[in-house]
Amino acid sequence: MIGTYRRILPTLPATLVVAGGLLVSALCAAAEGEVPPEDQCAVCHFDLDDEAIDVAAYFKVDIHARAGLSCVDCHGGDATSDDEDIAMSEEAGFIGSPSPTEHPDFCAKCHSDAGIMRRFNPGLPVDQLALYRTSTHGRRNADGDENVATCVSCHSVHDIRPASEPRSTVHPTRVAETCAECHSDSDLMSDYGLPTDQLDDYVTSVHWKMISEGNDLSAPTCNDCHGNHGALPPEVEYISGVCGHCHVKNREFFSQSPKKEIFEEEELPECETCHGNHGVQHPTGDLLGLHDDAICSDCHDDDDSDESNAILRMKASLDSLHHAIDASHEVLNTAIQKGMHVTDAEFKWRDARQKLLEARTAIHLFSPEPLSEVVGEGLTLAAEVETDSEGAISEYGVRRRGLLFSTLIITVLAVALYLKIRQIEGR
Amino acid sequence: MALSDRIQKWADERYSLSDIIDFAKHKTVPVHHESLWYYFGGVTLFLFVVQVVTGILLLLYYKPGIDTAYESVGFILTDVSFGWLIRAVHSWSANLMILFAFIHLFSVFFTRAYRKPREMTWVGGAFLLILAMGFGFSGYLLPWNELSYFATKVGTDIMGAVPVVGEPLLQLLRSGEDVTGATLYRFYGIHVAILPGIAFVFLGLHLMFVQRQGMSAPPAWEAADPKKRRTLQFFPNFMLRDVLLWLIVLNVIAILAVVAPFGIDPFHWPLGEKADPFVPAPEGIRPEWYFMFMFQTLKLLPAHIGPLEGELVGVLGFGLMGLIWILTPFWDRPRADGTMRPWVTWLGVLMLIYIIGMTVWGYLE
Repeated sequence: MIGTYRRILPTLPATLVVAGGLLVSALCAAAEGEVPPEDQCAVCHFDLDDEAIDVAAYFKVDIHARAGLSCVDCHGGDATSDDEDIAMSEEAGFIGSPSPTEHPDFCAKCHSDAGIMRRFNPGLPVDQLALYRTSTHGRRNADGDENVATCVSCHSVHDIRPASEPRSTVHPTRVAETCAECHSDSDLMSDYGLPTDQLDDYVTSVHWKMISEGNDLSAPTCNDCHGNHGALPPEVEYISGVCGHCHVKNREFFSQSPKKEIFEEEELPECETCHGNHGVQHPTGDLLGLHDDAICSDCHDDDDSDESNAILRMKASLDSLHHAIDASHEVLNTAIQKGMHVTDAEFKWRDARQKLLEARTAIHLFSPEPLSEVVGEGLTLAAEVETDSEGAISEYGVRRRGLLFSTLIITVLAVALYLKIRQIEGR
Repeated sequence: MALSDRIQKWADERYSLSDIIDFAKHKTVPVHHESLWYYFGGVTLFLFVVQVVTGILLLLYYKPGIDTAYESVGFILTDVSFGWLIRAVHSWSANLMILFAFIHLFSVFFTRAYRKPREMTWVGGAFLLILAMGFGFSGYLLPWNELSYFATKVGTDIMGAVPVVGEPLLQLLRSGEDVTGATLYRFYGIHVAILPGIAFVFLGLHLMFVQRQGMSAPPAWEAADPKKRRTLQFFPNFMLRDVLLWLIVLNVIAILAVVAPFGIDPFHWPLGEKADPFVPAPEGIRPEWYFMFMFQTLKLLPAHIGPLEGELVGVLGFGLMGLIWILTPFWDRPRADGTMRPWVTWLGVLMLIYIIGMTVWGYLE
């Protein structure tokens, strides 16, 4: 018995290494979505050089594969047979590849079935097909137009990932690019009489900067304004509803303002008239006023009328707050650079900045009085920041003088001590 | 009889002060080409006293607790008269104390002042440096700001890598799984009670050894004819020189505290934002400069070295090196002819280059 152990013992490390290697490779294979050996679809389609049926890609990343679904769950057929005549026969329920007009119903077999979806993702809505049919894409698709977007146009085919994954074609950072696949294609869009510059405009916008530079995934991309499955171009009458979804106060103020009625009469799109649409820029104080670059001057003349005077008053009011905040920041920075602890002033300065944002929002009331009220609060805060910061700078001066005094005393003491040492050691 | 003489007589009758005065009168300090290094121990002691005084003043207003610590430090900085100065002096003095302790340690090493019979003076001094670093580590968390929170998190994580005792030590220090308000209370207790208690014992022993054995002198000075040895009276000559240096250091601290109360980047301690365990760690989290060489080494080590984790190897390596360093007097013995081994000096030089190099590298990254 001991002899047996002695014979086995030297081979133990090698055995462990081999067993470990097998275990690791088995785990790795499972992790990468190795094709199950009984799936005969994969056995043949792995060898096909056909990107449209990229089975290898499917088994690596597709969310359906991750959920344990295989080819036959969508396409039908018999995955256990290695005879293609049997595996892909009508008897076996083989559907094959659906045409673009069949895509919506093809996917909806499961995605519109709450019972099925509950098993995989209970939180996922099941109204995509219904919404799609209300969209321009869906209506044209139902009329037999094979060029309009269907499910696979946006979600891709065999490498579908959840929208939360950055590599998904419908992740917020990639939605614009995905829509532009078609909407920037001038040949395709010419049939529908649609412009193709939306993406070019959008990438200059403040919204895209928030996503691409600020990593703010809550900033709007195409589907946030147009909808996704029920995508429609926003009509004039509900454009403020789209923008107002995020810019709540701006919408509320605009609805209370006299401009609301005027815009309705003139059939002007509310927010878009001043701010544009896809290329909406970060608003600055320069938008307001009657100078050449100001938006107000598009409709208003500098004619000493009540309206133009109101615009100029609002402009002056907003500019005064802007300048006060800049000036207080300069003094605050000087105090900080001198090493002073001015946290309270920093908080007040942030509050003053908040008042500037509120003032910009209050412009949508198109009335100087409520704007002056907010600006007044901001000016008070900016003045307090300046006073606190100047106090800190003055305190710094006191410290410097105190330092000079104490340094002088210590230096005199040190010199006296040095002389004393010299005296003692010189004896 | 003058009043002072009467007081002296009264005290002498009860406490035999004349013995101590007699000892002080006859105490001398060797004078030679390495005498300069004697002053660094005294400066370190002076800075420790500054730490104790300013620390006690800060204690009057500091309130531990996650809802009060940060706010109370802010209050000290803005509302307490000269609070900013006390905090700035405490912070500058802490850093300078460790710097001077390092200089003192290496000067003792290179002059071989640890050799017989001063082995235990060296060991006690090495422990005092470790304690000083412990003071720095525990005090760093007390303002409960973003930087200190995450630096403590990283620092205690590294401690957790120590085999066997690491995990219990981590739990003990943090008072739980994570850095929380309980950790803050614990670090506060360590900083203001436990470490000072231990430090006073070690410091007392260290000073007692120095007084009993006198200053170490180079072998050549010791071998010389006692009549030809140059010496200096401890009182008042050496003491006055010490005080002169302390005044200069105090002046430097005062200037630094006013000109740069929050340090000089990258060696700075701004109050910044309050600690928030739920926000991601900000970029550039790093320990204080005296831990940087270890931190940088651990960063450079690969994830695995042989069968062991890289971090574990690093922590074990530093532990072993520290132990060898502390035990230097017991393995670096003079040769038969009384001379010391030169390779030990080179080892010290290499170590110094390594510490400075890694620290600089850490800050340049």
